[in-house]
Amino acid sequence: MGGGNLTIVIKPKREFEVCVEAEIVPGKTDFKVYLGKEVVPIEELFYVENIDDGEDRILLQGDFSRVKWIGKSMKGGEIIVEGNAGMHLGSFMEGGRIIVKGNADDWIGGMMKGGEIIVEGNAGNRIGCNYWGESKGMEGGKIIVKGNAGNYVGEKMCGGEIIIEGDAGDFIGTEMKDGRIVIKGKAGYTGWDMKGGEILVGDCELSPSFVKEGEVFKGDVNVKGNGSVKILKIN
Amino acid sequence: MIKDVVCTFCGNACDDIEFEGDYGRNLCPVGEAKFARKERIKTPMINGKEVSYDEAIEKAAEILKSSKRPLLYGWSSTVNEAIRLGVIIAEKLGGIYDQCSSVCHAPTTLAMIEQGIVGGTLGQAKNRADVVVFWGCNPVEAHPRHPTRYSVMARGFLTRGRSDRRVIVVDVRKTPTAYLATDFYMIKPNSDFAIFTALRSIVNGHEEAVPDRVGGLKKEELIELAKTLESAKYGLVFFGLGVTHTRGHERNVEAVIKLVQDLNKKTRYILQPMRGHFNVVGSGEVPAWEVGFEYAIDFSRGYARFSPGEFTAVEALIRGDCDAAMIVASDPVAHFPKKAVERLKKIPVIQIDPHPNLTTKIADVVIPTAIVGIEAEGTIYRMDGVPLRVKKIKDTNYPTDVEIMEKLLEKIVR
Amino acid sequence: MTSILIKNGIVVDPEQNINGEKMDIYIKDGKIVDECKADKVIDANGMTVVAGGIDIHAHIAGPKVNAGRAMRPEDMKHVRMKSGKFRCAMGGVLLTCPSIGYEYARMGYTTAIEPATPTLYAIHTHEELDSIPIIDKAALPLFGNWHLTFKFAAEKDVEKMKSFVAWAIERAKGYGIKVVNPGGVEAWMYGKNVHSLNECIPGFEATPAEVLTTLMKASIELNLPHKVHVHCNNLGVPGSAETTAETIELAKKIGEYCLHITHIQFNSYTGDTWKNMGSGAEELAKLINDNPVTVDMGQVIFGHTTTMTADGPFEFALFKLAKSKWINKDVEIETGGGIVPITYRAKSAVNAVQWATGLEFGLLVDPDKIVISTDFPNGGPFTSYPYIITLLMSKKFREKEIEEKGVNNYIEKATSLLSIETERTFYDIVKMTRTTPARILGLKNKGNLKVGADADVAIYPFNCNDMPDYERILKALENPAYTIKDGEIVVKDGEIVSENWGKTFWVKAKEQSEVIEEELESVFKYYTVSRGNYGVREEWIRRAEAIRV
Ligand code: SF4
Ligand SMILES: [Zn+2]
Repeated sequence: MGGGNLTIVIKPKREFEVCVEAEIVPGKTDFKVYLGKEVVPIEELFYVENIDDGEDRILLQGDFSRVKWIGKSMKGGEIIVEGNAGMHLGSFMEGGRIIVKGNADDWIGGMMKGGEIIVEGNAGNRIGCNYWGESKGMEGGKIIVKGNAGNYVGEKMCGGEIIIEGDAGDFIGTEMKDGRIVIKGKAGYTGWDMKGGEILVGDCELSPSFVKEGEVFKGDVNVKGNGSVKILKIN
Repeated sequence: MIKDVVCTFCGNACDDIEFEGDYGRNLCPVGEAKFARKERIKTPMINGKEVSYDEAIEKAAEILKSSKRPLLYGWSSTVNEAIRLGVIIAEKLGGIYDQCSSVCHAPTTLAMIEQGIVGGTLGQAKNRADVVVFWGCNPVEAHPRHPTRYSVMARGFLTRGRSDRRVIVVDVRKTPTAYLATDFYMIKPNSDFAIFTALRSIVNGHEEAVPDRVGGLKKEELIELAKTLESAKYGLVFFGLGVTHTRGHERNVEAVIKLVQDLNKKTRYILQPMRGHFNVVGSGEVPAWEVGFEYAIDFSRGYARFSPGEFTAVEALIRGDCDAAMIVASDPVAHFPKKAVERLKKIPVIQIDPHPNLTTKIADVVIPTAIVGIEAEGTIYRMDGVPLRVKKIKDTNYPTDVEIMEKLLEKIVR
Repeated sequence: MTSILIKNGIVVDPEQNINGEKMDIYIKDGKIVDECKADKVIDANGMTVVAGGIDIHAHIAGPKVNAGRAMRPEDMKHVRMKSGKFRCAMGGVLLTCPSIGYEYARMGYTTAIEPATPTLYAIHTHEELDSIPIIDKAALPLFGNWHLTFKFAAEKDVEKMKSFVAWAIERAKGYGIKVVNPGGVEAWMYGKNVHSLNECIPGFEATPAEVLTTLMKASIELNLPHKVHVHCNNLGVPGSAETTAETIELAKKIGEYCLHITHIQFNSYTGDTWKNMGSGAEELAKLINDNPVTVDMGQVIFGHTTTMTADGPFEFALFKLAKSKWINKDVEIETGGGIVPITYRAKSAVNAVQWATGLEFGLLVDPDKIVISTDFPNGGPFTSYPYIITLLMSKKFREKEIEEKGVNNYIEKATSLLSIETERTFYDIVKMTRTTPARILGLKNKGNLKVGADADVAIYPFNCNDMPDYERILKALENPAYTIKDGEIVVKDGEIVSENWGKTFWVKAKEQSEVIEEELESVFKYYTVSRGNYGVREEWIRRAEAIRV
């Protein structure tokens, strides 16, 4: 667990020359802040305020759309991003909760194992996916996007749940092994090379490798898969 | 006469060009244009003012060293020796190395990371293939000598030429290449992924999973196409930007790789991307052996990190993830999306190129160099990775890319 | 260049029958000398001094190795060293060029042979070799599936084969003859493989046996320093032991030394299915000891790795078995290749047998005839050599590993490992990593510490006359006190302290390409590269050194 008992409020001081990388997690204050090739003291870029309120929480105020790796590998506590969040939000996360009030950039919850990510706006590409060449995507936890999502949702997903309340792009649940993806709106190509797990989608273009079995489509036949896709519009 | 000259225009890298003065026998019209005299950047410049090479290199080093994360982009039109130094410079600077395939055949690399690739040399088209497929590519216009030299009419050890080959063209319009085909399939734009997958379902014996129409083709047509593919003793699929640059991108490539994998369970098949620039392969191979990855590499932590969509030039520019750029033998201002060009205009830019182009206009430092393959020699890789040495056939006073990179590296590690 | 005195070290050099004698060694201008004024003195008291190690078979450069890297960012992302005074060093099992040079030097190794390069891609192989710091190197061009090889083998024309071999080695700036699954890769162009030495190769009147025999004769008549280096037919399948025995028989018929069988472990399985597969090491070790052949181990290391070989049909079979990624490359009319990632699991019966079989060879074959290898990266990382050496030197360590890793007890039934009491001495180990590979490769100035030899030296922090327990052996082998390359200290206490560039050896054999002029012309009529552009020029290589025979 994070183990802290205060709320840390972080606010950008100025516009950054290049994107910032900072593995901000609750209960930790000694994380490194990278500005390109330089490691800089956090105070150089941000105002930091500690509020002793018994919470285990980080409050990110202002624009964090150019701050990457927020909540990387976090194990507990809470991060609230009041504006937009940058890439790799909650990657490798194991527990706790991240709430983004604005939009999130690509790669949220990459290879996450537990915890919860809620994006109230839109999210970018590659939600809950595996990193390049790795064999497992998201393994557990929950991601909720209240707006729309980009391409590639839940690739090689092995567990957990992803809910997109708006629309999503192409390639939903590619090579998915287990877990559940719900897309309330419509999506592009869905289910390709699915080995297992479950996808519920408002409408989509199903990969031409599924066979209808009662209410659902089963496949992918090309990998002798046992995944199921339920298209709400049809049923 | 200088024999066995390698043409440095397209990924074919034809190596049978014979030069007699300015005339190059065997060049196709596109190649001829490359070798024709073209406008040159006359001298090095800083902010439009003529300076010496030393001053320009000094200034370039200063910009790069004071940058938080410089982007080093281009590379696919120079030689491996220069690329290697470029990778080392990026590493020592803590910058980004990215190359032109991030806007052309990078989807092939990404698909390869997922699936590998079943490939071979162009000699396989010439010597063994009895079914040749061109999917979303148009060699007659983009790689003019491809059909005669390697793929359609070429005679090989075990083939007698066109009469031994069934040529299939799949495209969204009837291209000049389609006129060479035995069978032409006109498909709907952006449906490659679905068609590859449908074919795969058929090849694997699951016709029932295929709807009545996919991507503008009737199910019967798909079954017929699958049969033709399976009828090969040795089949070869060439694919181009029509596959990598339309909806689906790397997934299109992955889908055709998987189709070819499955076809290999029945007969022999290989796959070959039709790469554009003459050394786009080298600009990926060199960083792979130096630091482990082909493109989209960031060194800000003192080691290499690979992240397409993040450390690729276009995305790094749009996100404002680099604050200086060095462009080598490329013209991003002409080819990048507007938002990326806007960022380029805001940050210091160094250009290294023999010829002026739109990027020259926005560059703070311009360093002209010798033309690779005409005034400078070195190693390049053909589209199938076969290495060739390009030659120096004319003298010049311009320094080579390698010489510039050596000096720059010296100034950077100093 | 500085001159160095290594003072009071305990020297092991089987080439000179020196076994643990306290001696001084002088180095000047990159060579071992009798005596000289030394600028620098290394106090090697209580430490063991040996020649630099030689890896006779490691896939370290070329298109195949690089395709493996590009396909596996998940392996390449591991950071071994950050950029600073030296290059950044990346890679888990697969390594970048800087990593390869640094990691060899960090184990006290100073020479490595890239064993499979298509001549068509030789320029690429040399570009990568040139990017590997510190070590000396060489490349073996592939001959076993060249159409011209088949033609001359079918005609049993040793004269023409000699010319062809000399011509192609010169073009590749290569070091010898590599043969991979002779005929099998050509059969793969038709979706098949060859399954015995006496089967006809598709489209030719030649058999794998004839290919091997003609090449072996050519290697003798050309007086090549390194004879035929073969990856046998039927590699990696139950029953392969029989094919290997038959291959040894072919060499026996020739009557003099002309055959090195590489990664023997992968070619030594008995049985006819994966269910009843076992080790053929015991019988094969006897055959090897009795016949004029040499081998390297091809030891398997538990964990993940990436297989890569010119054996196209084998990699396809592996792809179907492992259901993972697969790279294949068919190369004109000369060779092919494939790459498939795999994981060796101690708990798997098959993998356990592979692990045990390699060790059996290491313990049963005469140290004058066997070299330590993992067939990097096929069996695992070469950085495991200290681990393998320690396994060979300590039965206790073997028992501990079997216990701790939970090695499948099927090895009790299928191999003889558990009943082998042998513990290799350090003298044996020096043979298996220095003396023997140098002899097999015909590198007279390597693998020994004679006056005049190259000053490639490793100094390990233990006394070989009073061997410590296995834990300390392992630690010492992984952290040499010094590695000296070409007379320069490149490693101190296991860390890189300076970087230089080694040589690339190649063999210039007597070429009479007139004899095969007609055949070469007919080849280049249909090749996709002109004859003038085929191959590598010496001046393109950073530090080429020709060996003339
Ligand atoms: S096909 Fe390409 S390489 Fe060949 S001559 Fe034309 S432009 Fe040059
Ligand atoms: Zn090997």
